[in-house]
Amino acid sequence: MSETPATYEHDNDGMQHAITRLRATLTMPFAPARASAALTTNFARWRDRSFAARKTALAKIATASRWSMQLLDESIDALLAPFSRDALVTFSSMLAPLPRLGGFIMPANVPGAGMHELVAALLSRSAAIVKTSAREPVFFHAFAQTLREIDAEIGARIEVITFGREHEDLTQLMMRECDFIIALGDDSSVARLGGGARLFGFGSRTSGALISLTAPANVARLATALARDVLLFEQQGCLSPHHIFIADADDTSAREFTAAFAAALNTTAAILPPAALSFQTASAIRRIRERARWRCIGGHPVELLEGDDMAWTVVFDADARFTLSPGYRTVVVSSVREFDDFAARLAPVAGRLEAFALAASGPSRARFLDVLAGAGVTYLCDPGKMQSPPVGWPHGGGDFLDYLARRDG
Amino acid sequence: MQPTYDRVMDFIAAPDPDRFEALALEVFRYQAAEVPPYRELCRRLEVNPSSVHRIDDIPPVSTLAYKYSRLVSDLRNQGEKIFFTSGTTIGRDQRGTHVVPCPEVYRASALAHLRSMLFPDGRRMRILAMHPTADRMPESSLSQMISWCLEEFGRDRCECVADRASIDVAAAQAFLVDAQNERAPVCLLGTTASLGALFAHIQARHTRLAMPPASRIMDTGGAKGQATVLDAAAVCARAHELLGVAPECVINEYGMTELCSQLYDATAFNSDDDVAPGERVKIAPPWMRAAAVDPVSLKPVPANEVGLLRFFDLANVGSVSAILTEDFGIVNARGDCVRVLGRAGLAEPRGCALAIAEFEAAEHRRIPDAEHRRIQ
Repeated sequence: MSETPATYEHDNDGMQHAITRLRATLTMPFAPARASAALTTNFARWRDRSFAARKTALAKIATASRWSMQLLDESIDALLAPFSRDALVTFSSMLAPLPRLGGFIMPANVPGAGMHELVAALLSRSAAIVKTSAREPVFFHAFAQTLREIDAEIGARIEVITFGREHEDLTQLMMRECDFIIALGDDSSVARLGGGARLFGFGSRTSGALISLTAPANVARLATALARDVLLFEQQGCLSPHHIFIADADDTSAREFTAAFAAALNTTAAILPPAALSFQTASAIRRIRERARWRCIGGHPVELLEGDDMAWTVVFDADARFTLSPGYRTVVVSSVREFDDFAARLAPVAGRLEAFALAASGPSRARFLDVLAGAGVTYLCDPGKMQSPPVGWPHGGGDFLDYLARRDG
Repeated sequence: MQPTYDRVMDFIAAPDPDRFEALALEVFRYQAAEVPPYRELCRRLEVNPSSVHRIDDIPPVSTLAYKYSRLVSDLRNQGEKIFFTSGTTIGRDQRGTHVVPCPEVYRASALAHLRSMLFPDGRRMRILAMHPTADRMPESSLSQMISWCLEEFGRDRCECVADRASIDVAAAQAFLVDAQNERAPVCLLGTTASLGALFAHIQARHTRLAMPPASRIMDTGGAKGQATVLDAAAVCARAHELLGVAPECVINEYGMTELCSQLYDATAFNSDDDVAPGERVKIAPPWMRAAAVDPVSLKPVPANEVGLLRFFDLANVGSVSAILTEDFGIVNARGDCVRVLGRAGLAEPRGCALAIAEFEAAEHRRIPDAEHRRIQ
């Protein structure tokens, strides 16, 4: 069984040694097929819920995050599902191997976020120094350790280090020593980064869904699929929908769908228990609930559906523009009348949309796709698939993939 | 209905803690019957008012409700006053409206607790208002309170140096210099932001004033509208340094348009408390009871644990008395002593996900005319 360290904090010397070791790996022979094989094996192990390293890591994350183990299991399964042997081999063939040292600054809010970029780097002959947050230091440590156990040479291309954002000296060291930096985090954190490395910032983004209710829409199936998209990772990542738009539906149908969606959240809450909420998060959700409740009482076209113990919250707000939520199963549902109306509703988050779940067919689908492309969406999927973007997902617009494929000039 | 108002007025005049809960339940049942939106809330929450026997089981109304509903009894609205909030969510929410159908209760509450907390020595004195008085800003509940304060506690020379657009800090300084020279104690009333403007004006002129003993200051509003944020300790320090007002005579008020009663800092000037400004607690009047509640269940948390602040204010008899705020803090077991810790529900770190605060800040940049300042 692999071990994760008792303490994850690193210092300047530890970082310097890690960089030196990684630089040395870049001169060693590299076979993309071997890298794909090692990653394939590692992902297969991590998709197995009985894998000891996974169980240990997720138990630690559950304790620290106060997310339920069931929810974490389901979320990690969804994240890792696309990393099959075929997908890795195919993706590897699209990259242009070139030895580079990449620095990865991973976010604290979603365990495993940044995996797509890390895999892309490893398959392109890069070595990776992965900086994890002191709030979530577990996942990548464990993942790298099991990769080393499968293939020591491929595993040697990752060093995982952990320090808090107050250690600016360590961040600066990374910026100086790495050829490129992948930074996932809020916009202000990404903006603070500077230095010589090529920076690929994946700042604050959000996601949504559009459901056309033209017959014969299977309302129950769609509602359940969307509930899954919302629930996984407790709606904390950039791939979590905050707002669902209903098209081709009158007010009654839109409200019925909202009720079905709320019922799906309620049913799933029994299987994937919700997280224990922090005071600030619970207060933020309380605010959303009270605002909706009183707008409804005041005669606005708003309806509040709420789960017991704040397990979930759905606000039907017919005319709302895209609205962010604090996460933790809190969603706004609106109806849209036409394509221009839909575009106007997305205006507040235009350029900051990452993914959209889309259920629409016929000519209207193409029109909706145009609107979503115009709003900067990088990942379109069927409802229920949002947390499983493909291995070659052009996260943030695809600049990093272009860089690895040497398509960026 | 009239007897309920009269009993509240009697209570304010002669508080009896043993009668508070019974009167609170009477007021709640009156409001649940006569305030239509509150009646609707009780219906939606399946609360039967006649089955409620404890103050903690009374459903509170969020301060947000005042933005969307007219929370007032239909039965008594002769001489009502209407006050507006600014709305603290930038750009998106309309301003809240608190209709006070019975201003005499508001006046009685405001003045009685001001007497205890700002004028415990029973003195009347010169008053300098650095926020508009009610004739200049009738929609502001703070303006109304200041006007009543001037009427009740003012003497000799009182002046207002603010209108809804500006503060005449030069006139304020001149007023204070006269009082200093004539050795007349002064009471300053205003927002923390207005005090900040006065301090900056005096500092820029490299002057120092020495206000006569018994001078005092009441500020309110905290960081709202301040160009440079002054915390409580900084307000006290500058009042002492620039005006010569003793720190214990600098009293911060916690109030809001939705409440007819206010809370004030406890200091050595008005109570047995003598703590540093940053450590101060606020005292509620006997006709108000505070609780810190869990944001999920809305049930009180144990004394001295952090929760959302909820108040039951008998002086709100004409609208709704059970108010859930968006502030968080700590409340003692008796419910009369509160430490306000800040605004709840603000952003937590969101990693790669767009956070609400970040989003709203961007929204606000697109709305240059958005109202920042809370009008009380």
